[in-house]
Amino acid sequence: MCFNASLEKHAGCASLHVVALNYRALLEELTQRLPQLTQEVLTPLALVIDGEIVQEPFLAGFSAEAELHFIEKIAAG
Amino acid sequence: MSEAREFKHIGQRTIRPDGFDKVTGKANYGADLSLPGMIWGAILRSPHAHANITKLDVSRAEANPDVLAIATFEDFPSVNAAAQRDGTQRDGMMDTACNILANQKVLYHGHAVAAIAARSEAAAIAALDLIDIEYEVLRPVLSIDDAISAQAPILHETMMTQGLAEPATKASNISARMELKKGDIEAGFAAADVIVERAYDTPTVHQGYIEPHATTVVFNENGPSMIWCPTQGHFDVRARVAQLLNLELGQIKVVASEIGGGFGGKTTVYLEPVALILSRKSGRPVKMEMSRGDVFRASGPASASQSLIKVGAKMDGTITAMQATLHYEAGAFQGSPMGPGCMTVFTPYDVENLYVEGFDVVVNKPKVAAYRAPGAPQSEFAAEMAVNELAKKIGMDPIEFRLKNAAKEGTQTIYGPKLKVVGLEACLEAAKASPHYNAPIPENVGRGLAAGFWFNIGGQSSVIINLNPDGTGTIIEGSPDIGGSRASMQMMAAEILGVAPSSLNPIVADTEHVAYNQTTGGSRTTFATGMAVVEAAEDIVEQLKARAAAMWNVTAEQVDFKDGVAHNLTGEDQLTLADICASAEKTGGQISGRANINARGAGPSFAVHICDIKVDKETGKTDVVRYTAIQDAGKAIHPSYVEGQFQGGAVQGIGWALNEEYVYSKDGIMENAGFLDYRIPLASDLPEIEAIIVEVPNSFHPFGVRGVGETGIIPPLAAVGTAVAEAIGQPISSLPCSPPKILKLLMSAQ
Amino acid sequence: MKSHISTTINGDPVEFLCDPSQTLLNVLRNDLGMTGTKEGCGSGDCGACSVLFDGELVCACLVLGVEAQGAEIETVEGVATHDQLHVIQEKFLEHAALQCGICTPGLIVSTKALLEENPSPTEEEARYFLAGNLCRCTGYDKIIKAVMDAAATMRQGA
Ligand code: FES
Ligand code: FES
Repeated sequence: MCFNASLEKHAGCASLHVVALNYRALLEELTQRLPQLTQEVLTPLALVIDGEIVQEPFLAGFSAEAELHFIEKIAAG
Repeated sequence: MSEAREFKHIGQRTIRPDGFDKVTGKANYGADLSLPGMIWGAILRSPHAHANITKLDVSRAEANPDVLAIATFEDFPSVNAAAQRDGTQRDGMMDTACNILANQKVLYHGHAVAAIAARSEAAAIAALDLIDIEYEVLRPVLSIDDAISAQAPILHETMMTQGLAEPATKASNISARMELKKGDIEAGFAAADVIVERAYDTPTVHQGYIEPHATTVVFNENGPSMIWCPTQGHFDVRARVAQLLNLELGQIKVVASEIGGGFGGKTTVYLEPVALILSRKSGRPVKMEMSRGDVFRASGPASASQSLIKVGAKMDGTITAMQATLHYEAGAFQGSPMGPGCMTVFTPYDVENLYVEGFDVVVNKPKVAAYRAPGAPQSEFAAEMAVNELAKKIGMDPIEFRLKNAAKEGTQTIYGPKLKVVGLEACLEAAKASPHYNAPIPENVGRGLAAGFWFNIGGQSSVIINLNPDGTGTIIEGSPDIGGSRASMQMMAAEILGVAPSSLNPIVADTEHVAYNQTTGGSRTTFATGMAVVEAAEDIVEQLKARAAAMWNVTAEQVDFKDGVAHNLTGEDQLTLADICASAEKTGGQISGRANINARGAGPSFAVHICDIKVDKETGKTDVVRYTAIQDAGKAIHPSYVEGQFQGGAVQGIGWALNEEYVYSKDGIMENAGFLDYRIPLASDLPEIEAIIVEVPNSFHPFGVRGVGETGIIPPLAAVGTAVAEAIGQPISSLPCSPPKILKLLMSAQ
Repeated sequence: MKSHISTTINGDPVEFLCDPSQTLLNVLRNDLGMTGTKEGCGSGDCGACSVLFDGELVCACLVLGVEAQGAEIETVEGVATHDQLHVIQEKFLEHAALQCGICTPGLIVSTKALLEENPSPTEEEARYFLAGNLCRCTGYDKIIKAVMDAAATMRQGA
């Protein structure tokens, strides 16, 4: 799990290993381990799973080796 | 999906299904619906850029017999004084509501204050004079520099800067700060042999869609109310109106009319909720139209920007570090596309060390809206200009320099993920091989080249395909067709079903006849709605197989379906799609396919543009003499409309670079709110726009589609800027390159 | 006080009542229900409202309704005959010369005026003649190709 500079401020670190195989488990894990990283901060964001941007990750699952990033949702023009 | 596939329909240049109506004047756009008993609404707008409303009294207007209804901010039950008092106000709707009808304070010239409905348009406009309004005029904030200075008046007393290292303690005109980084920026610059550092700015510009905003509505107490309007997203119109007026989604039906251009500017609401309030109060259908002046002054233009860029490279051409500080004007309310601006600024480059800082700044101008790849043209303009200057300093060809540093599969982006397969290198190679790049540069002409990157998005789309007993059918989609997407839907469905595209009629249904679809934008329609069309067609294929199996008394697995014909794998029998439809009555009823998806896997699209510009050294006038747009489409479903997106984006970018800008007086009055003075490119301003389609398939889409709508507006700013710089032998740092500015540069050089 | 106007639109005799300040565009769109002619600016700057007035190309937003008295007006609705498209319309479709299509009625009418006046325009002449018709979607490239192709086809047919 990697954080960009904006999230790093909340997280206090640039990346960490998490054990989770889906989005909801990931949220649970992160918000417990990093109290600064609240649901309010994370749920509006899109999740990037191995380079694929998932705008609505609620049901997303991923592999144990997956590289994950939270990013701002992409606006539309 | 990398091997070239044989397609029957995809890649053909078919005639668009809605074309006949559009060339004969039959197609109905936003302003084209009138209803029996209909009355007209008009809006009172602020003559000031920044002022407190000290008095707003509508009683004289109310007493006028011509006036049938009046609307003010207090008519938004979601956020009005009563809601605030009761604590029932909807958070998140306040800015939207205040932008639609001002609440105690006006924040830009043209800001709507109140609306009146009367029996005729003329009567409604005349009655606006009966509204008694007084203002306490405040000093307007009209630029980023002004907004962030210590002396600046604060637009919103409660706005604190988000995203600072230390939480903000006092109100500011900066609503948010964002920071992105990768590697070690200091070390990166220390390793550079050559560094370019320069400040750039771009003006406020407008999408310039030719159709002004317009709507016709009917409020209905007992059934769904109807809103007719040109929009890129009628489901989002429904959602916003429902939230503002405390209605349920089921109480509103939004019909998307044909839409006369949007480019991101028709992704929000201005008139619709006001018209519905007026209709509710008057009991009549209400029509409202914006004038062209209103569109300029009070819809959502694109952010002006200021960018500070620093790029360092080794003499061998390796970029070692890139740094940007980006400021975006949000207009009167927070929320510029600063985020995507930061994320895209350096994405065309595979560089170890990056640092980007962005700021969202409010000013007394209309609240910005999306405009084609929102945020990216401004920041990538600055980055590409600096990259070209650096390439020149090192003595490298701009294509070779980019190839050496090009983003590719596996490149770690600054916003987080690694890129998948992308087409930047392919576009650069295509540029290198293009006739344009290989043609000698004529005398007095400058040549510029620039790249562009945009993410593209997927998202929610819903599609139903109904087949008729004779095998023809209807594709019911919910993505407003803004540039020919019905044709692509038809072709994709025809490809799967093995029928003629013209046998399937695509319609953009209203919010009641198809499930939710995200707004047309983010270059998502051909990708995501296309994916839903493919899934719905595949759903039909499964049913056709089952029906054929029932006819033959075999299992569905014993049936193959190919090119519109079902084959009995246990014998010789065949049934066409039309045959199966004709006997549907006997095999279980009619056949419909359906898909409701939230598409993932949108593929980014890169582009490279080349521009030749001639500058008249006497007048500073610029002439685009040759232009080529090269872009990765993934797969071009309908090549003509893909080229059209490249060309249209290129020309909007050319306008942005050469002529277009909002001109404000020092009091914040917009002085060029019309097409005469806000000059968008004319046919006579332009040469042919050569379009080269590159196809590096997106593996997530069944046909390899990437979105194509937005990227094309990004490269022109720096391609044009660099061409002008080359032509006059002076660096360009400010857009537009309008004749007076160019003349000044030429004179200062002498 | 409204005036009673008798005119001819697309070959049909038409009568209407109109306010002295009402534009022809407003009459066409709001009183006669002929919404094929579009409004992009109302000030003569965009060409979306192009119509032929006694054979001359005008912006309907700059003509008063009362001026239509006794005139022959042709709008986009009169360019095709029954369901048979005019060559210009066919070429616009073939070349994908429209995206959103809001500028298209005006451009079709202007192109008709151009080719009546000059059956073999150069590309440059076409670009200058059509400079009064704004299109924000296409970048004009395909429009000009459609116009040149229509001109060539019409020359062959003539
Ligand atoms: S509406 Fe007449 S020229 Fe624009
Ligand atoms: S096609 Fe949209 S303005 Fe021309």
